[in-house]
Amino acid sequence: MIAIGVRYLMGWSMATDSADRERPEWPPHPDRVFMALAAAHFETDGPDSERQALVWLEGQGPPEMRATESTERNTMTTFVPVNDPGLSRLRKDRAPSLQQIKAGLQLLPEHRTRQPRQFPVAIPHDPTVYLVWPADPSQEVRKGLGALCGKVVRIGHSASLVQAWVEDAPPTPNLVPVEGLAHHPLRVAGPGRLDHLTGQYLSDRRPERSRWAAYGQARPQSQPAEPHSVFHDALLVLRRVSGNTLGLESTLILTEKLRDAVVKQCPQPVPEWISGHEPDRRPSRHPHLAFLPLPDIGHQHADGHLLGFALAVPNHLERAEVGRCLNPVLGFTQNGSLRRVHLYDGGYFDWWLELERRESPPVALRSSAWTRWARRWATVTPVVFDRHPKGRSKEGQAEVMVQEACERVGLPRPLEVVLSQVTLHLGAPHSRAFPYLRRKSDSGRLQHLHAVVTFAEPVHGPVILGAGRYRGYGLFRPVEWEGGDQE
Amino acid sequence: MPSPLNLEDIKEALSGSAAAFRSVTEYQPAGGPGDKIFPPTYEGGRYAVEKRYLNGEEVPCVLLDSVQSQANRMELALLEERESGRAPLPVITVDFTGDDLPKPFRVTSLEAPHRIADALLRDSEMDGVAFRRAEIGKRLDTVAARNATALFELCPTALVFGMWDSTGPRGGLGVKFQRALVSEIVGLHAQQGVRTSSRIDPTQILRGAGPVFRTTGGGWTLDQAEAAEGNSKGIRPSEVNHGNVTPTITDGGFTISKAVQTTVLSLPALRRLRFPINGADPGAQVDLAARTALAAQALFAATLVREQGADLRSRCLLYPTGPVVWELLDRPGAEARLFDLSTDAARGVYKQAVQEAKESGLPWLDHEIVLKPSRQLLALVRQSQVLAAEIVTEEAEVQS
Repeated sequence: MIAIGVRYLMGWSMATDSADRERPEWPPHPDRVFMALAAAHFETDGPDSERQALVWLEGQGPPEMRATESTERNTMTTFVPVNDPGLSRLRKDRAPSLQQIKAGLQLLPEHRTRQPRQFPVAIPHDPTVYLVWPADPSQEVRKGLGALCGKVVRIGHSASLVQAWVEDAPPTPNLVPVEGLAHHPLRVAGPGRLDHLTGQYLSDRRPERSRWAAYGQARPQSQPAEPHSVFHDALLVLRRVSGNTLGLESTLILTEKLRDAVVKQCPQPVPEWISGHEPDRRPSRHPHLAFLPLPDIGHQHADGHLLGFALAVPNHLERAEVGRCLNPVLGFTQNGSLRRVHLYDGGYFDWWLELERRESPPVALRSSAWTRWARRWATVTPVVFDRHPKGRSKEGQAEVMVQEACERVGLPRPLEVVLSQVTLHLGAPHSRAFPYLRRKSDSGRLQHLHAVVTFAEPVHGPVILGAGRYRGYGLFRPVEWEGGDQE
Repeated sequence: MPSPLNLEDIKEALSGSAAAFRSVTEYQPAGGPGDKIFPPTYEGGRYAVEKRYLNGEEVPCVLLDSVQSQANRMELALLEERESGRAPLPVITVDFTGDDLPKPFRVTSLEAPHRIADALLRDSEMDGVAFRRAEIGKRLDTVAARNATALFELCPTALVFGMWDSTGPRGGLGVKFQRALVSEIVGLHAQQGVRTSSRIDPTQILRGAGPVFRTTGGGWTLDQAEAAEGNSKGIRPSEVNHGNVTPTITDGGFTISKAVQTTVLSLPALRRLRFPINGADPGAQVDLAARTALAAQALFAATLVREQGADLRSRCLLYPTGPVVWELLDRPGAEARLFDLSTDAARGVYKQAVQEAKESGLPWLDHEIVLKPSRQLLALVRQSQVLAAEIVTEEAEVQS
């Protein structure tokens, strides 16, 4: 194991995000650190042992990293004096024109033209980051890297001063290379990078961008031992980037458009877990991708307007398969910007969605708000009943249907089910405000009601029940009974 | 307990593996804690606000003085020390005096935006020869990190604050020197306030005393017959700057819990510089002497701007609330050695370092080099000053 520690001496990093020149880059991409080490070698005419150390490092693959969250300075445009004004030739016999005077005076400091520049700054909670590679290098390589680290002055803009060193006991990484859907793509150095940088340095050219590697939060791969549904407990959250405000009542039309977009953009032929159909067009018997609305609810002024959507992925899928199908829809393009999903119907709504990547998004856009451990859950969108209760004690039958619906998604039977036209969650509409789902066979309306379910033991979310669960109906959220609101 | 910083400490730090000298100094507004201060505004009148994570919570902060602004202040502080004869510093000046210029002035290499590489110096002349073609200026064409002697001699602040020779012979690919000293002031727990604007007229001219009419030549009159073409309608007295202005309230100013100035001197940046003398590798001792002098200059500059108090702009005067302490950052996790350094001590260390550098054979410009602006630039400046004077005289004539 070898680790490099980097401490930002001013408490911040001034480096531009490659996908958005107005935002700072955080955490520093491994390739940026590699380039700083290479620059230290070139600019000091370092010995060959340093070069060998860099060659070893580039062959190691993407490192694991430890970096905290950061905040941003709101980027201001600073006007920086230029250095290229010149004097035009003046005629001896004529007085200079006003234009010429103005141009010439620009040489003087107080009249110098200024060029707008931006200096985006990221302020991490902890100014130290670590990059960790599992392999053990030779003593020479270790020494070479140590020497290079000692020479590094900055990472990023020239004011972004750092101290770099080889760390023997790094903390546990929290950002690791992953397969599957990339939440954080980072640029990394691979074999051949040093040769490229050497060539560019010698001919005074800027380096080209290196390749991207997908990173994600370090989390345990296996599912939690406590009861959970057939859906993975990490939802893929999409936030609304632009578009008019719409409420929970619009769930069905929006999830339909979202599903269409995913089906269209994913690699063809569309796999069963996305389309929900077997090859012979019959409904799939396995759990498939569910589209969930994420509303603003649960506080005094909540009105249930939608902040975004979540995709609940069945947990029997391999991460690599999820990544293969969803990266072309939601992932990152070659230049590091996120793809956006367009929901458009020609007049009523024109929405753009993007993968939620912020460290601290609004509560509704956090997967944990919908999947955390809880005993009691209440609906945000009503549960749809796929058949009518008949005969006596219709209510009792309806409650049993909800209990069976829990089992159908892998959850235990709840202790108690309470059905109602209104829900416990502030801001979510009355059940009659929701358009009905219709039966395919005869277009009959399927009844729906809000519900509160209480389990004997806490379960992990997401809890989505009933006939509309793949399209956003029957979405539950945890309820706190004693003291205070959720979250 | 901090110990006084001396030359040996700097040499030891540069010879070893330490990463930086860092000073974090706290300030309060001159009007006392809680008094309102005005940070710099940027395009659109906005402030550079940010959140920082302090003691487990996110704290709103505002930038009070940027990296570039702090560098400018430090250079000016050094220039002032030189001009009052207290400390040595090479200076190249472009002299706009004589030649019957209405308002003579001078611009030094410390004030020019791009320091010694500035276009203004490029376009000025030494004994009739363009600066970059003169013997001294030509030396700048070959400076590099491994060959920094000419800059040490002519403009050592370029090695401390950074330089990009973007208008030299290699144009945009010209040599770049990384800055070694970075400093910034930030206000913590920043709460934005409001600012009022109003005017009380000492002559108490009322709006009803008008209307007034504009005349040709920029003046005004109460007599409609004398009004200029197209101005017969008349305007309010306030439009010719008389009368009261109703008070308005806009966003402005901040209160802060304290201001914090962070200054870092990077030692690896100085260790990269090499100083051959007359083309020959001088050896480690000479390199160390030059780097020590640069470090001493940087620490001196940073100390100067601290002890004076920070008079950053109108309504933003701050005073340090404690002694200035420098930490020497070495092995991470290990406790940093602490030093204190007063202005007098810093000056003494700096002068001693320069002396030792000279004694080891390094060149150092002791006398001021004066350049004359090119004939054309002088003509333009003269013309511009004459025009400006004419406008002022015209206005004065009309008012009387």
